[in-house]
Amino acid sequence: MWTDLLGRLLGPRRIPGRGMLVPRQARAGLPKIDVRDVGHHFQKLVALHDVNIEVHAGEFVCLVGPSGCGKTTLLYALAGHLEPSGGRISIDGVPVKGPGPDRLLVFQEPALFPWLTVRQNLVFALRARGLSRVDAAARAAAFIPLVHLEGFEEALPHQLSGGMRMRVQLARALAVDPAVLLMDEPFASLDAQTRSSMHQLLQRIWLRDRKTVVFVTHDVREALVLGDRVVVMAARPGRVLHDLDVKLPRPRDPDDEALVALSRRIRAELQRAEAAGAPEPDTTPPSTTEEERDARVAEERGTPRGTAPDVGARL
Amino acid sequence: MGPLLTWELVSRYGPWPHYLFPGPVAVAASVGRMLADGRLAAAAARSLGRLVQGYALSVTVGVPLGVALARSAAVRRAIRPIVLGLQALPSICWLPLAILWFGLSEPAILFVVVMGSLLAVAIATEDAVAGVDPVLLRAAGTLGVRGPRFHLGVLLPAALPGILTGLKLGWSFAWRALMAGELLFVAGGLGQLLQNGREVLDAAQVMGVMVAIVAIGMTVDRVLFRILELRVRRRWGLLEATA
Repeated sequence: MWTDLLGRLLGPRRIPGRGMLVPRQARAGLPKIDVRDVGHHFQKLVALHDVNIEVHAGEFVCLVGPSGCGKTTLLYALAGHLEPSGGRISIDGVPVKGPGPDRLLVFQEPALFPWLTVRQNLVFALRARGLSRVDAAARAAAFIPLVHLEGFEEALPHQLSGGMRMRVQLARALAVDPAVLLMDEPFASLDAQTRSSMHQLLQRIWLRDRKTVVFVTHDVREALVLGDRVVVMAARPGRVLHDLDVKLPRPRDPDDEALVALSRRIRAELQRAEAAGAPEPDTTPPSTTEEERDARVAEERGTPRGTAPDVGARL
Repeated sequence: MGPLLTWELVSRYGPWPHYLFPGPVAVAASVGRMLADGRLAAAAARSLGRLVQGYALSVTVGVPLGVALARSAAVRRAIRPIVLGLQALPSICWLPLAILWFGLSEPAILFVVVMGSLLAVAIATEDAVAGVDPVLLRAAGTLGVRGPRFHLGVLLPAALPGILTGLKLGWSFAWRALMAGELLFVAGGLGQLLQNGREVLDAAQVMGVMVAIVAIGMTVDRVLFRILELRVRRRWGLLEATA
């Protein structure tokens, strides 16, 4: 830690982002979400192979990887919308069986009820959670300003822009206040500008509430801007390549030099995994302990990467 | 104006006797007479009363039936072939059986009306519910919306634009079935007024009643349903914004 500090004090850093991305440190206590040896296949296609992830309460974990790496499958399994063909998923030690009030899925589409106004969309969700009419109305009124939609309470979804609709969905999710927020590429369909403002908004809200978030994205930079932790996944079969802690200070700027350098490294890593094709982690026995896995990841990361197709570095 | 004028001229100077092929002037006069002595209003009220009863029954049974067909594979397997098969049967074919079952009574004609529209409403509802955006169903699932709140608050509103199309179709089927029933089974109403005109060789009355039937059908279809559909489509955001 203090070497990092020293490095910052003594002259310019040679490698931006060094020490900002480290193998995941084991945390004490019971995890909030425990994914154990989870596998899933659609007919012959192996969507997930031996996935182990622990998420502690208050962590913001990003699952990042190319399409087909099973990140969305894993998220839907966490949400209880899909039952994995193997392994165990538990929340607070209780196995997941179907959707539950402790988890809420935020979709890539706004998923608002089109016949209800912004306010009614929030109230409807809150009433379904058992709030009285008065409480639901008060809570809706409190959460709409949080996503800066004052004045649009009585607008219908189709009268709003894509970014505004996503904000309504976010407000609905936050108002419902689940213990775990599961987000499925929620900003993927937005333009860059809107996406970046959504990132700022989500970071601000997360810093305030410290909710447990599992966020799926294929955008490495988005994962680094938002996540405490980035779980890098690869495809064919869907598996975890690396589980990394992100030590970049918040609030994060997507154009920060260190962040850009780190995202370049992860992308290079993903490209290498794709080029290799063969399932890298399979070379080690699937029943590795947390420590072994971390050590292996550290070892992999320590190896020189001269042969990696680091596109960014060549540019 | 052109077609009316042609009609009048053909009726006056055409090869057919005027009493068999009256012109618009004679038809209008006949409608005026029927309005004045209250026969048309009474018959229309009688027909519409039956229609509303039969149609209401069709909707209250047909919509839940359609939802059940769309949501339950067991229901689909059990009764979908029957529903589709009976749909191919013109509803007036139910009349003889209805008379056997209910006698020459009001329930017999209501039965024909219900059989005419129920299946159309059920099938359209099934299509509409099956076509509901799966994202909305997943959203409802993750938000924990279930039971009556799910059916009345998510499923039916989400399917409403499609259900309305079915309701419109069901209405016009009911209207046709009723007219056929009233013609064959004399028991008051516009159909009987039509038959009446034939019995007294009053072609102007027959045509006058036909005009009234068209007018009622168009009013309900083009005005009532059109307004309802426009409103729903606008609220649901299914219309291009007309700035």
